[in-house]
This record gives sequence, C-alpha cells and structure tokens, in this order.
Amino acid sequence: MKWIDPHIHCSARTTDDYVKMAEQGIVAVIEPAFWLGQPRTNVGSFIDYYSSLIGWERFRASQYGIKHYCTIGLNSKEANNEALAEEVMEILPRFLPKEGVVAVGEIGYDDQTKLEDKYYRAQLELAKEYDMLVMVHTPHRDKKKGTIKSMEVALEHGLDPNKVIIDHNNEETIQDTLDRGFWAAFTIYPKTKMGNERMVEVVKKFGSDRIIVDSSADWGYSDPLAVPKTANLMLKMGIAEEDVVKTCYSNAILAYGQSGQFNESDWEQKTDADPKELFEGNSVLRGQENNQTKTS
Amino acid sequence: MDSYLSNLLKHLSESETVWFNKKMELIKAAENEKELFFSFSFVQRKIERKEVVVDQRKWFTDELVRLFFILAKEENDPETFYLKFEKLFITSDSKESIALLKSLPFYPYTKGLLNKASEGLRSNVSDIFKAVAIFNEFPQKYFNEMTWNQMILKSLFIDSPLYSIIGIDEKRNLDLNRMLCDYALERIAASRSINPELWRCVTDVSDNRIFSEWEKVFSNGNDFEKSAIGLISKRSKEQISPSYSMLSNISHEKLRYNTWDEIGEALELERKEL
Repeated sequence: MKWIDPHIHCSARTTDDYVKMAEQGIVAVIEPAFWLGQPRTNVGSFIDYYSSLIGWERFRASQYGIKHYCTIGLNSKEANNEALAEEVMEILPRFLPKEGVVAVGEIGYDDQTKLEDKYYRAQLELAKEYDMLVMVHTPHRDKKKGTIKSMEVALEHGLDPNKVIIDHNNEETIQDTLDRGFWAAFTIYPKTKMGNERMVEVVKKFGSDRIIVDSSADWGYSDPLAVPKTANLMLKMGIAEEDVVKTCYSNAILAYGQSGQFNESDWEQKTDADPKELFEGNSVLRGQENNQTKTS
Repeated sequence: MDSYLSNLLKHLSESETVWFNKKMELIKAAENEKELFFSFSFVQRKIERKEVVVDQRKWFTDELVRLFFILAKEENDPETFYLKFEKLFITSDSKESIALLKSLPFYPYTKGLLNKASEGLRSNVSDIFKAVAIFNEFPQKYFNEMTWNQMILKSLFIDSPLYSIIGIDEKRNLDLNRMLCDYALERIAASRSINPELWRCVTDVSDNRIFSEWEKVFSNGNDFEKSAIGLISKRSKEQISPSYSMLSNISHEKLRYNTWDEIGEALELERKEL
C-alpha cells in the first residue's frame, strides 16, 4: 500500500531511512522548515537551510523514488531572537512561491512568548497575502491552551480553517481542532506524544475525517516508519481499510493538495529515479541500486 | 532576442500570455525588486512547462519566461545587474538555477558572473552543471584554461556530452591533453571502458598503453569506439605520433560515424534509451 508522511525532517535522516521508507510504501513526504537543534546566528544560515529544502534534500529523496515537498517558515523557537527574526521575515517571500512549497510552516508557539505571537501573526498575514496553506506546530508544554490559542489567532486573522493544518494533536486537543474545522494532524513518536496504539484508539473514536498521521521524525529519537507502522497496526486492529487510507494517505492530499503544489499525479507518473544523475563524479547512491530499479 | 520572444509566445496559452505581459510591465515599472523576485518564482505556478526549440537549442517555456523577466528592467550599470542576479541566484531552486545559468549569454553584463558560472560547474546536480557546460557561449568566452579543462573532465565523469560544448575543438590545449591522457590511463589500469568522446580533445600521445588501448577497441570495440579511432587516424601523423603506424592502416569506409558530433549525438541518444 502507498503512504504519505506529511511531516518529517528528512535533512536529519540517513539514506538508510529513505531506503526503508520507500520499501514500506512511502511515496511522498513533506519536510517542514524547523529549527536545527543548534540555534542559528545569522540569516545566511536560514537562506541555506531553505535552499537545501527546495534543492538538495528534494534531489536526495528523488534518488530513492520518494517525492519531497516542504513548508517554509520561521519556527517558534527562533522567533524569540527578534533581530534575526526580522531578517528572516524579509527573505521568506523569496521562498514561499517556489515549486513544491506546500504551506507556510511549521509556525506557531513554543513557550507562547510575545515574540512568538508577533511572528506567528506576521506569518499568518504572509500566508494570506500569498494565498497559502499554513502548517501549525502546537506547543509541547501548556499544550491545550496553546493549541486553542493557535487556532483562535488564525481565525482572528481571517484564515480559512480548511487551509490550516494543526499538528501534534493529542486526545485532549482533537475535539477542539475538529470542532473549529481545522485539519488535525497527529505525530506518532516512539515514546512521547502519540504512540501507535493511542492513534488506533483516536481513529476508533473520532473516525477518519480531517485526521492526518505523520512521524515528525527528526534528529531526535523518532521513527521515520511511524506512518506505515501505524497504518499496519490500524489494519490489524480491525479499522476499515478506507479509514486507514484516509488518515495515512489521502487526507494529506486533500489538505495539502489545496496548494496546487501537491498532486497525486506527481508520484503516480514519476519516472524511475535516475541513478545516472551524478554529482562530483559520484551518485548519492554510490553504487547502490536505487529502490525503483530494485523493485522494477 | 526577437526570435526567442516570438517562439516563446507561440507556446504560451492565452491566459499565460496575459500573465506574462502583465508581469513584464509590472517588473519594468517596479521601484524595488520585490515584483521580480515574486514573479520569477511564481512562474512555476503560472506557466506550463513546454519544450521550445530556438536556434537548435532546447529550452522550456518557464526558463524563457524567467529570462525575459530578468531582462525586463534595463540596468544601466553592471554592478546593479550583478547584485540582482546574485539575489536571484542564492535563493533559487534547481529549475531556477538552471534558467539563470542557461541564460548567461543573454545578459547585458556577463563578465562579472564568472564565479557564478564556476559555481554552477561545481554543482552536484548534473542538470545545473549542464546549464553552464552545454549549448552555452559563456565558457568559451570567459573561462580560463583551468576552469575550461575541469569542465571537460567533469563532463566525462558525469556522462555529459562533449559535442554540445561550444568551442570544444577551438579551446583544445596541451594541459587538457595531458589531463585526458592521465584519465584514460587510470581507466585502462582499472580495466574500465573509456568514453570515446574523450579522444576528441586528445592531440598528442606518447604512451604506448594508449596505443594498445586504441588497437584493442578498434578490433573489439563498439561502433562509437571504432569510429573514434577512425577519426583520430585522420589527424596528421605528426600530431599524434610520427612513429606509430597502426593508425595509417585504418580504412574509414566501414566506420559508422564520420564526425565527432555524430559520435557524441549517438552516444547521448543511447544513454537516454538505456
């Protein structure tokens, strides 16, 4: 079966992960711009990071037969460095209209400071100006209040909830998210946030409409196979295949497809990854067969 | 540029033409570069990618639209233009980088973009490399011998065709000759095949291992290899090696390809079909 992981930080993952993801049926991924663990100290670091999301990482994923998309935004943690945040806001319009950029994101709150609020709002305005979707990162701490605030502020700025994906939901926030008409994404982490079994229960209770499963796998302890594993567990636990497909594949297309940059035809018609696309005399495959050639 | 514009317009739909013309006007009239930056990237949402052949070169509609956007506002001094290019370049995605580099020969000021062109050659993405290397007058005009030679060598490493490089014969030089012979010897030592296009830029050979290689591929090689040896043998004896007789005994009638361009083109076609 085919799956989409609509939230994964591929830049922090190895090529082995790409191989396994492709083997497990992941055909497309969305990599939201986030923080790197190490705080950035100048705008050039942001420029290079965004460039790698639309360039190098997309190329790397393509070598494993996976279509790579991204979101571009100033993350909440680094919004707290005001001087730098101002400079980043200046360059965001240069990246938002690029090919394969499906949303402004991930933006929102971390500590829920005034500066986080300022740049969250400024980026909601940008999304409106560029007629783009928004991917919202909801805070880990003081989660329920922060999630509700994220949505209220988006509504206050006149965003259509159908064009906003609220990520990192849990059992305590989902009702509020669905009630307001937003998309509710769930991150499956091995230990924290949502676990696979909990996700099964969520779908049993809330159904599959507007619910999206992702891994948010990054440089920390996380699982790039969270989506296929959760999908398989759901199937095993008796959830209807239709609901599994919706939460782990087609809802992501419905939500992010609104950008015009995320179309099923992109990966349905894809040609085989070209193992001859080389760089510096070497392919990223370094003699390894790519997944496409291997399975075809 | 007129033939480029008329060719482009032939490939744009009505609504695309309206958008293109409107944006050209806006970019021209704009006080700052915001409109250009936005439109330059927005091309991918507005213009359907179609192939356009102008002067035997393959372009895409989106690339040509981007080129005209860059030229829309005339700059009176090189520095302003270079700065504009730099800003577009550092935030470009792959397709945009390709359009920017492919367009090098059409800019009002080009000399100051030497570093950008070299950066394109260093790219890991082969299509960005090719945007500079093939069907582009810039390298012949501005690259020094060192950069030129690296470009030729890298072309061979990544299977980018030599015949499409403008000036490939005119810019042959002794240092390149040496680099190519060394590379050929490395391949021979590793029992690997040699791209027959390599020999196009080799004019001076003294190593017997290369002669043996020629003999080997001339009797057992494929049509590309045999034809390449045939073409080497047409060069004056003094150029290659006065004392080496094998080449003068070659009959050319049975060879499939008669020019280096034919070999290069056929090789490229074969690679695409593989």
